[in-house]
Amino acid sequence: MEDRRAKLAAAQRLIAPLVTQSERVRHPLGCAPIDACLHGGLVRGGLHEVAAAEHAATPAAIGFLLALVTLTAGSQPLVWVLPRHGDFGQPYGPGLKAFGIDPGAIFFLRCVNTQEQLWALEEVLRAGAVGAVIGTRPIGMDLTASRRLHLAAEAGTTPLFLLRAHQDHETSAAVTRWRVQSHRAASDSLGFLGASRFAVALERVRTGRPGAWVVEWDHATLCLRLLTGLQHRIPEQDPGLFAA
Amino acid sequence: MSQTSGGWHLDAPCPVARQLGLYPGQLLSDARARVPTLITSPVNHARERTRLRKLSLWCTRFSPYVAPWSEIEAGAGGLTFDMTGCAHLFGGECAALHSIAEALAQLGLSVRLAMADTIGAAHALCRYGAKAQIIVDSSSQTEVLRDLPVAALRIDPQSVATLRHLGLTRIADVMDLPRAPLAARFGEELLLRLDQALGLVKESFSPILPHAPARVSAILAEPIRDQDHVLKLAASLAQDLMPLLERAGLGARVLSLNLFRVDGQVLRITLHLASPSRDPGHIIKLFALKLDARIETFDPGFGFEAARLDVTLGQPLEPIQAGLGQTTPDPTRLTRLIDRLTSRLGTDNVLRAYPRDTHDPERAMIMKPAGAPGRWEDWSLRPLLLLPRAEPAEVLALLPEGPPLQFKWRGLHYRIEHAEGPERIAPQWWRNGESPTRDYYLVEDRAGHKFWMYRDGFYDAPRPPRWFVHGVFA
Repeated sequence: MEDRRAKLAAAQRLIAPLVTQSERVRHPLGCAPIDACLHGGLVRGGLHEVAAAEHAATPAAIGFLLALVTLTAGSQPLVWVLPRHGDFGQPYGPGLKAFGIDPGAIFFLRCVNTQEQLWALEEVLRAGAVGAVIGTRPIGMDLTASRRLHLAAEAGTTPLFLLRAHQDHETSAAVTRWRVQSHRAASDSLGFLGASRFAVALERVRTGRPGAWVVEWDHATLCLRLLTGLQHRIPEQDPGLFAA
Repeated sequence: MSQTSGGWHLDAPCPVARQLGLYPGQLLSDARARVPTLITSPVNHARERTRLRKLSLWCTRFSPYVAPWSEIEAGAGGLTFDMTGCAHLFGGECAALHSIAEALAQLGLSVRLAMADTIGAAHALCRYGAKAQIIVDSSSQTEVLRDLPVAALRIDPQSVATLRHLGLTRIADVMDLPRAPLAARFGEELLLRLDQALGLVKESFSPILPHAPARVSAILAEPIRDQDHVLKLAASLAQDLMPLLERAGLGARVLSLNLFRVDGQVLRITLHLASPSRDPGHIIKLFALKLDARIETFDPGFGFEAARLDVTLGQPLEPIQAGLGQTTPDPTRLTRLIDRLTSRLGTDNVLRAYPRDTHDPERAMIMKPAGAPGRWEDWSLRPLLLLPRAEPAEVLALLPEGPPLQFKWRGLHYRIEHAEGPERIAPQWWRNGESPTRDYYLVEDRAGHKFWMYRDGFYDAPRPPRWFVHGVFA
């Protein structure tokens, strides 16, 4: 055992210079088991992807994505590159406010095509002037493009959260990939719907291990609470997703 | 020619026609009788006016203060220039007049130019003077004016006719008369115009370009066409602009780069900055992005021969000093980022959400070009995403006035496990009296999909109520 530990420490020393500065800044999500899987928290300068488990779960995926954004960016300004036609509509200010996000802190960008969208994402990330960037993964974005975005995020130490279509099987350079399924909300003491809940699976994570949990987003205190731990159980494994 | 109460009149006969004895204001039938082969076409006043406006914009390369004449009478359209402090840029008044004449002649226009101390005198000499180009100094101005016809005073044609009837044909005749009877007979206008021409009463005009806190211009020896060269030119203009702004303690908020094409067109590129700036490097980057975005429509024609950079809106800019050991991100970084995004994507595509004080869900939020952040009140029970247009759903409800039990939307069935509501939102009756009251429900199905639905109208209303999905919750 001692021997293995020494070997591990030696290996860590060896790769230490390879870990870039921006990868060292991590944001813990506040749930110990999840943070353990993430090796301490979400990497700040990096690309993170959130996908819905099915098409109908897209709003839930956006909700969880926004929860991650809030946990990493705090009250800093945000940039949201809007999709040309959101299947479930466009972000709604009063609803964002009710979810715990200040709509006034968000700059919304509209782009006419994928090329412009990628330009805008990269420009915002490299500037390093905002707390986080929200976008939609363009259909057919290849590994090169996603690596480029990841490097831009690293250069600007700005996290990029991309909503991934649920049937998108393209490989990517994302640091983490989450898959979100809708979950019935908590009900409060009076029987009204309370905090939103999500069944999330951490499908892919660089320097960490996957896991699956049910979490609750408290929009009043802006924190994520763990409801059940289903460690190392991923609902559906798709070999294509792990090719990268 | 144009039509008046008396029939068709000639407006602007060409030089050949004039030689044959035709004159402006002549009846078309008389002209035809003289020259049966006369070719005429009606005047389009609106088009003439826009052309003159365009021309005056182009002429701002000679002086920032140019305006088209307000009235286009009998074939005479013209521009007023304020050349104060501009003439020396061309090497004196004579040379300035000459270069204006040459430039306009290159556009295929025949021009008459007059430079004088007052607008009235210049106008009179330009229209009625003997020479096509004339500069009159203050000492001889009155003398020169004396010999011109009274029509040169810019008074209405009726007064001109009456004066002529009385045998007063030259300005000298009017000038020498006692003022009181003149005022009684012809009103204030005649004397006012006379005094304006003589410089006894001040006259101002409104230039076509608004006042700019700072502007710099360049006239090129050779026309340029290349985008890179344009950018280099803009960079040097921006460099020249900065000391001006610094002296005024201003930063530029809105800038416009005017490129004057050889053929009389003006290309204008306008930049809106998120916060006042004096950094030439930043401004040039924005111009480059803007040109990149407009590359398809960027048409240099035969090249640009002059350029001007205007600061059309300036704001006080105090020097900013960062505190020692301050670690918060530089706020200028964000405003610069927003400027770059705005330049490339357009002002209408860099937006912020602003609240509006209304209960109407569609109108409670408005997206506007990014400015100061909106202040949002707390909301509860509003969907995270709102559909641009509420979509109809087929609903099965247990009670007529109750929440839905089951519904079909976009081809999928949802069985509702939990419903909250109704929240009744009445329409703004003063907007569209037709739309009925809405009862909103938050519904959740077995899988946890949450929707914001409403029932349009009441069951006892003449029209059966319909159900709509309006938004989704996370």
